[in-house]
This record gives sequence, C-alpha cells and structure tokens, in this order.
Amino acid sequence: MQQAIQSPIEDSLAGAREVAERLGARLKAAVRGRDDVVELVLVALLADGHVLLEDYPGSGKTTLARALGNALQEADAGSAVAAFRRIQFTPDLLPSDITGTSIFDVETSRFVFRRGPVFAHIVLADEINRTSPKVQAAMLEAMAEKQVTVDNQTHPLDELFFVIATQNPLDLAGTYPLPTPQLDRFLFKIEMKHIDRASELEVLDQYPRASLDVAGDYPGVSRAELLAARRQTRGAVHVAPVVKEALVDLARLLRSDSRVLQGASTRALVLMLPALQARAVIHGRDFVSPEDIEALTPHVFKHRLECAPGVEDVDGLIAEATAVEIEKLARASLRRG
Amino acid sequence: MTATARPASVGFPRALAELGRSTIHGFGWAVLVAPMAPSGAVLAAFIGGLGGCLIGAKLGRTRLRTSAVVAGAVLSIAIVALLRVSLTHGSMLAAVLGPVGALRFAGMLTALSVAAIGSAAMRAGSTRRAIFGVFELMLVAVAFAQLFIPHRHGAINRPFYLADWIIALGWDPTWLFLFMGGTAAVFGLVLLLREQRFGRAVLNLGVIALLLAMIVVATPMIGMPPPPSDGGGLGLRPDQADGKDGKAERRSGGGSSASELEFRNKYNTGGSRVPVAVVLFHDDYSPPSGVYYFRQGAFSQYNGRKLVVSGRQDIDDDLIPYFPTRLMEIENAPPSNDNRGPLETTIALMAEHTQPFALEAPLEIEPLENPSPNRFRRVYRATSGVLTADYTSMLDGRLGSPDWSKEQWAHYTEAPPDPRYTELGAEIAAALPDQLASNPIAKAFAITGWLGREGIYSLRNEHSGAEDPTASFLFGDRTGYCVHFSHAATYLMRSLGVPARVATGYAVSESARQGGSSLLLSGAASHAWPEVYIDGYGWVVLDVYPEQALDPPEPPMDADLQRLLGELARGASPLPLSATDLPKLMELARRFTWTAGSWLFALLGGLLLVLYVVKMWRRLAPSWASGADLPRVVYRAELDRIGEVAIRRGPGESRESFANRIRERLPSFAPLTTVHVASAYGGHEADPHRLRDEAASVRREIRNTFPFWKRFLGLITPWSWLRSK
Repeated sequence: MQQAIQSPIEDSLAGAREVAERLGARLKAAVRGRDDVVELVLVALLADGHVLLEDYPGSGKTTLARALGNALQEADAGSAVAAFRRIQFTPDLLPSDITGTSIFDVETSRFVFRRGPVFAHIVLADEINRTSPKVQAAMLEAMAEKQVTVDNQTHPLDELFFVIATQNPLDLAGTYPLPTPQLDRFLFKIEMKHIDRASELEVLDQYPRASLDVAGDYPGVSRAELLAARRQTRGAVHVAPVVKEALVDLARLLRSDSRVLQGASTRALVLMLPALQARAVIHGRDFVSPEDIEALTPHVFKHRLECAPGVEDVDGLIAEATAVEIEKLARASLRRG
Repeated sequence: MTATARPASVGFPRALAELGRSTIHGFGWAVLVAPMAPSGAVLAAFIGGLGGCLIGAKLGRTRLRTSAVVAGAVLSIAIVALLRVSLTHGSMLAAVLGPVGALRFAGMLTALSVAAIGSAAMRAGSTRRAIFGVFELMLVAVAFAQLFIPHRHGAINRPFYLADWIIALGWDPTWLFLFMGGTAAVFGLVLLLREQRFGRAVLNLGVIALLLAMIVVATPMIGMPPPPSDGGGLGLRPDQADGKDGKAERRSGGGSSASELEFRNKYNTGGSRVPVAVVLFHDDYSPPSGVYYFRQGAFSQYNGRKLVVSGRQDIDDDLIPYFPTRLMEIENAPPSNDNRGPLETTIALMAEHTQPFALEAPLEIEPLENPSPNRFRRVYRATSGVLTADYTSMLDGRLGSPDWSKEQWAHYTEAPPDPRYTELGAEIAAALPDQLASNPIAKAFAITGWLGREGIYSLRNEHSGAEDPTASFLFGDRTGYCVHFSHAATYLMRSLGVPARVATGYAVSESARQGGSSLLLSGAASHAWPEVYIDGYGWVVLDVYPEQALDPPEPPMDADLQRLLGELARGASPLPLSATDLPKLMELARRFTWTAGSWLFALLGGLLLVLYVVKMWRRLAPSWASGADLPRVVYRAELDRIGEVAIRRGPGESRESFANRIRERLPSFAPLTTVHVASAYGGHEADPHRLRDEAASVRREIRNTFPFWKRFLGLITPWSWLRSK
C-alpha cells in the first residue's frame, strides 16, 4: 500500500477526514493485513455505495463487517435501528425473511410490520449468490432504492444503509450467480487475497483476545458523524474538468474495446465520482487526483464489464485502458493549463 | 505500483535475429581466412561460421554445462587437426582427388570445422551470458584488423587483393576501405544489440546506419586524417614542445617545419615510413651526388650552442619563405649557367608543412589546383636550377659571392670559439696532397670525406645533454646522426674560413625513383646536410656519407604506392578506363555527397542546438515563472533532472505512484509532486519559497545519490528532456 502524500486540507474537510481516520484505525485493528480492503470499504461507506467481497471462507469478511457495525453501535447506543445485521443467504430463503413481514397483532387486532434484517446501518449479506433470484432481487432493490415494499407499503430504510455482500469465488455448485446488471448496484467488487505472513502471525499473537475485542480499544463513530462526513465529501472535494473528461474517456475506451461486449454504464461513472472524492479525503486531499482513478478503476469496472468469450484477463484490460488515460492526464499536467 | 499490463509487445522475430548474427559469424570467419586461403576455404569458413552459430544458439539453450561446451570445442579442434594431418599425409584421399585436390579439400574441411566449432562455442557462451559476447566481438575485430594490417603506413593501395581490382576500375580504393571499416563497425554494433522489441531494434539500426553515413560523408569533407609524421630521425617534430628552450609556441601540424634543429630526438620509427609528400619529375634528372636533396630550410646563425635560422633579411635568401598564392620567383636564386639547369617538379604534400621545399636550388614556385583534396593538403609546381656540373669542376671555383658584404661573410664563417675545431680542421687540411693543400674548396671536400670515414651513424646517440652537442659528438665517440654530422662539417669548414651552413629538408637516393617519374618522400627521408657557397654554383650540397652505421638501413618505399600516389598527384584517376564514365560518375557522387553532407550536418547541428535551447529553457524557466505556472514549471525542471539520471515515470503511471516508487532514493520529490498535483487538479496556489526549497532539496538528493559521471552524461544529453514526461 502506498503512503499517502500529505497536503494541507481545507477546514471544511477536516471533520470528514478525522471520521475516516478514526474508523480506519479501528477497522485496521480488527482486521489485520487488509489495509487496502479497509480503505476501499471506507471509500464505499463515505461514497454511499455498497461493496461485494469475493473471498474465501475464514478470511475476515464477517469480522470486518461486524467491526464496522460495532464501531457505529458503540457511539449510537439506543438507536432505533440496529447497527449491524448479518443475513446468511440460503436457497430456501424468502424475500420476507430479509425485508420483514406484516404480522397480526392479537392485542391491537391489526397487522403490524415487523422489520426484517435489512433495517440496519450495516448489513452483511453472506454468500449472496447462494439464494434464489427472487430474494436477490429484493435485496438489490433495497440496496438501490433504500426502501422495502411489503404488502404495498413502502418502508424507507435508514439513510446510512451500507451492504457488504460476500460470495465465494469457488464452490459454485447450486448457486445463482448474480447477473452483470445486478452487480452494477455494487460500487466495488473487491477480490481479497490471503494476508501476508506477518499479518497472519499478528492475528495468532493476539490470541486469546478476539480481534473485535482489540478493536474495541479504539473509539467508534456515530451515525450522525458519518452522514456529515458524507455530505462534506460530496460538497467540498473538487473534481477538475480534466478528471471528469478522463473518466468519460476511460469508459468510452473500454466500451470500444473489441474484447468487451458490454462496457460500464453511465451509472457506474456517476457512482464513481463520490468514490473518487472519498478516496481523496482519506488521502488528505481536497481534490481528486489521477492517482485516485488509478487506484479505484480496477474495483469499479471489473464486475461491470461483459467480456467476449475467451477473454480471461479483465484486470489487464482495465489496466491498459486506465494507463492510457492516466498517461494523458499526466502529460496534460505538464502543459500550460 | 507500476502499470501492471502493457500492450503485448511485438517480439523481435527471433529467427531473423539469429540468422543475422549467424551471417555476421560467417562473414567474420570468411574475412579472417581470406588473406591466407583459397576461395573454396573462404566459402567453407563462411558456411562453417553460419552453421556453427546456429548450432551454438541451440546448444546454449540446452542444459549442457558451459565448461563441457568449451571442453568439447577444444577436443573437436584437436580431432580436426589430427584428421587433417591424416588426410594430407595419407595417400587414400590423394589417390581419389589428386594431390592438389586433396590439399584443397583438407583446407576446406579445416576451415569449415574450425569456424563451425569456434562459432558454436562462442554463440553457446553468449546465449548463456551476455558478457561472453565479447568473444564474438573479438572475432569481428580481429578479422577486420588483420585485413587492414597491410594498410598501415599510408599504404593506401594495400592489401593488394582488395585494392587492385578497384583501382583497375578507376575508383579510389579509399571508398572500399571506408566501406569495409563501416561494415566491421556495423557488425560489431549489431552483435551488441540486445533489443527485444522489433521497433526499438529497427530504430537502433537506423541510428547506426546514420552514423556510418555521416562518417562516409565527413571523410571527403574534412579529408583523410593527416599522416602521423615525426620528421623522421631529425627530431624536426614541430609539436614536440621543448620547455627548456622555450619553444612551446611552435605550431603543430605534422611535417618537418622546425625553425631550429633539435639535437634532442625522440627516436621513433613508428610513423616515419608514412609518406608525407610525393614529387613528380617533369624531366629526367640524375644528380651528380646520386641523391635528390629537397631543401626546405637553412641554419646559418651561430647562437653560441648550435646553428639556428637567421633573422636577417640578406641571409639565406635563396629559400622559399612561404607558400605563395601565385607564381613567385626566388630573388637570389643561383644564376642559370652551365653548372645549373632548370628542372620542373610537381610536389603534392600529404602532411602539413609550414614552408615549401623544392629540389635545390629553387628558381620559382607556383601553386596548383589540388587534384585530390581528400588526399593532398597542397600541390605546387617548383622549378629548380639543379646541379649538372661535376663536383671536381668546382675545385676551380671561388668561395663565397663577390656581392657579399663583410657582414655576410662574417655571418657564414662564424664558428664556435672552441680552438679544437680549428686544430682539427687544420689537421684534416694538412692531410691533403700538396697541389690541393691551399685550395679551400678541396679542404671542404676533405672535411666531409674525413667525417664520412671517422663518424658512425646512429639515431640513438643524441649528445643532447652536452653544452656543445657538436663538440660532444666530434671530440667524443663520433657517433651521431645527420644533425651532428652537418654541424660538425659546417663548424670545421667555417673554422677554415669556408662559408658554410646547415640545410634541412628531404634527401632521397636516386635509386628510390626506380625509373619512374614520381618519388615518394616519407618522414624517414628528412635530413640535414652541410652546404658551402661557391661562386657560380650557389649553395652546393656537400653531404657527409658515413661509412659505418649502427642502425639497420630503412627499407625502400613501396614502388606501387609511389606510382599510385604520383598518378593521383598528376590529377589522373589511377587507371582511367576510356570505355566507362565511372570517374565522372564518381566526381558527381562526390559533389552530391558534399552537398548532401553539408545539409545533413547543418540540419543535425540545428537540431542539436534547438534541443539544447529547449533543454536550457525548461531548466531555467523556474527562475522567471510565477503564480499558477510556478509549480508546474518547477516540477518540470526537477523531472528533467531526474530523467537525466535515467529515472523515468513508467507509461500510465500516475505522478504520485511515480513519486512513491522513487521515494527510497529521492524522498523530497514526493512533496514537490504533491504541490504540482494540487496545483494541476485542485487549483491550489503554492508558496514560491517553499516550492523552491523543495526543488533545491531534490537537487541535493540527486547530487548525493547519483555518481558524477551519470549526472554529467545526463547533462550533456541534448534529448534527455524529450523523455521526461
């Protein structure tokens, strides 16, 4: 992971940055050796997007999601909405199992809506590809619209609704893979690799204390602070016109590539802007730099591209296109503006 | 993080590269074998080298140990040697092919196998380790170097088997040799090429071709390099700075042009056989002494230690003072009478001379158009009144000129005050027969004769440390060379009242002409000799011919070269074929290359200038830039500096990633990058002072991290900024 290059940040962003730092420190304490993933999750959280983790079992997905939930819970004790919920997706799950359902209250003789697990700040959707498309659709609607509809009644979800979905890259028997349009709803698809030796040793060293206990030593973040940070990020981080042009050109370049059947949507670009802003804040900048594009494109575009049959190296394809745009940006920066 | 994926590079067609390398191997062996083997063996060596290289490339990629490859090669060569012996000494092959055929076959077989084994071993080595490619380079270098060995000493017509046919075509062999040298250079450079990418390799080959074209174009423009002349055995070398005598200001340029004769002598025969001039005789002439004397200068002023050039106007005015621009008559030339007859010569100088020379005694001199500017520095025609009278007839002559003033007489008869000279002179004169005892001219002859009998010629004895080197020679071991002999003779003659001086120039035996009309002068022919003035004859050469010499005699000049250069000086192409227009075409081609070459050089010079100006401008721009431009300009200047030490941003690498990548070596580049990026994408103003401080610390880190030579090379590279992006 590269070190952040520091630069003085505007006062309006100091709060957002402090929140991101505090949360980052706590998450990094909980999940060792995954600083890159933690950063991406923070970016998604600040950018109001959702993440899909593709990972092996036992690699810390749940720990990460739970640590995030705990950090919120501690600061917001007594909130009406749960800070963290985990949904284990199975083939026999029904949409109402996640959205909630109306049940008959004997005392009041009325149907009341019992909220499902999606009514939480942080939702861990474990093995999302193991459930039926019906349930997936309900989940994805909740993610996209931030609301659930049960019995023709629409129930809004909390403003801070953040989904970490996971799926196992192997063991695909009996699964329902998410189609590309559905994947478009996730801001990032993060492929996690095994952590390095030193980090793995650290995890063992802190035994018998659980990671979440260790993380508890760090201060949490409240919902209000997080929402304020989101607003600040959107408002105060400058996106230069050349950067926007580069984004559009990048998407067009990918679409025109003969190896790509279907390129990234405009929505992907719209979603990407706040993500770039969020990353700039985390790196102490009040402007988006090409470095942000370089760092985020693989995670933003990989699950959105429908490649021609036989094209394996999607990462390479994206890297090529990104390199072209980064090069253009870098050269332009030496010319008189 | 660097860009993880680049566009798949087009691999250089490996087979093509391998084939090119094999061809070079083949040519290397063929050239190596060419001077000593018949054409069949040359062809066999070519095939052997080509095939061996291909085998070697395959061998290098096997798991065989390198030492095993070398041992195998040595063993194979031994087997081939044995086989050859058994083939040529056995009778079986001879019975089938006949004795000549058997020898020829054995030669071809040997050439084939030695080339194949050698190339296989070399190529196998260079496939394993790049450094073993040195042996391949050595093959090419040795092959071409031995080809050019006969070409040394200005022998432009050698080796014969290459030059003869091109001379027969009426061409200048220079072009062939330039071409061959260029080929050798291309071979060497191609062997050094290790480009994986096709485009890059093609670019490099193009650059090599351009450089060679520039050499070929430059040669007719600036001429051949002048021959290294050291003035032969005389120590007349003009650039030999002599701090003791304070003559360091003498101009350099080769040729015998010294204003003073040096007793100190750097004995060096290395360049002495190099031709410095060629003389064309317009008429046949046989000098009475059997030696052609080309006088260039004269030394008549005694300075207390030796004879030097006189500064007086009325002294030694029979010399040609400078190269005239039109016909010049020598004022005080000896009169034309029965004793002297006119002879025209054309003299073409190959080495720069400060003063013209001509066959003694020059009457007039006229510059001529240079027929071959590549070859000759200057060409002039000189008419001399050459001595036709017999030496014995001079005995009746009178010494000195009746026109001479007292001062002139005194000047030419001033001898060292050392009484031993007078004593020895009188002693030699006393040995004359009675009827000649009072004849001063006979005394002069007696002195040179005595010196020839008593002196021993050797270039190695300089006497240069002595207070009076001539006395050290004459009253010491009497071993010395022409400078000593001529000084000794002049002093002895002067001590007897004979007006004498030392003249310098070239002396060549008549036999060196070998019946032709041209005479080649080399540095070894430079000479100094005593002269006396006889009324009606002018200055007459009275040379000493030492009977004993310690040094081996100089080998004669190459007669073919003498003739060839003479014909070039005459302005004719060596062997014009009336049936072809080749010489005219060559002239056209030469003019074309001249014009094209001038443009090429002007273009390249202009390009270089523009590159340097832009480089300077980019480097100095931070000192006048301001405001929003400043971070960009400062960053660009530092980026250029970093690029000069070969640290460059990868393609598609963002500025921050680049700064992070080089953080280990140049930590202060990162903050500079931040400021630049913040200015470019965030519109932030930068504090000029902080910015300049940061730039200064980047410069400091570059200084501390990279060695001087690397920074210097980067600094003088005009196009370094083109690659800093």
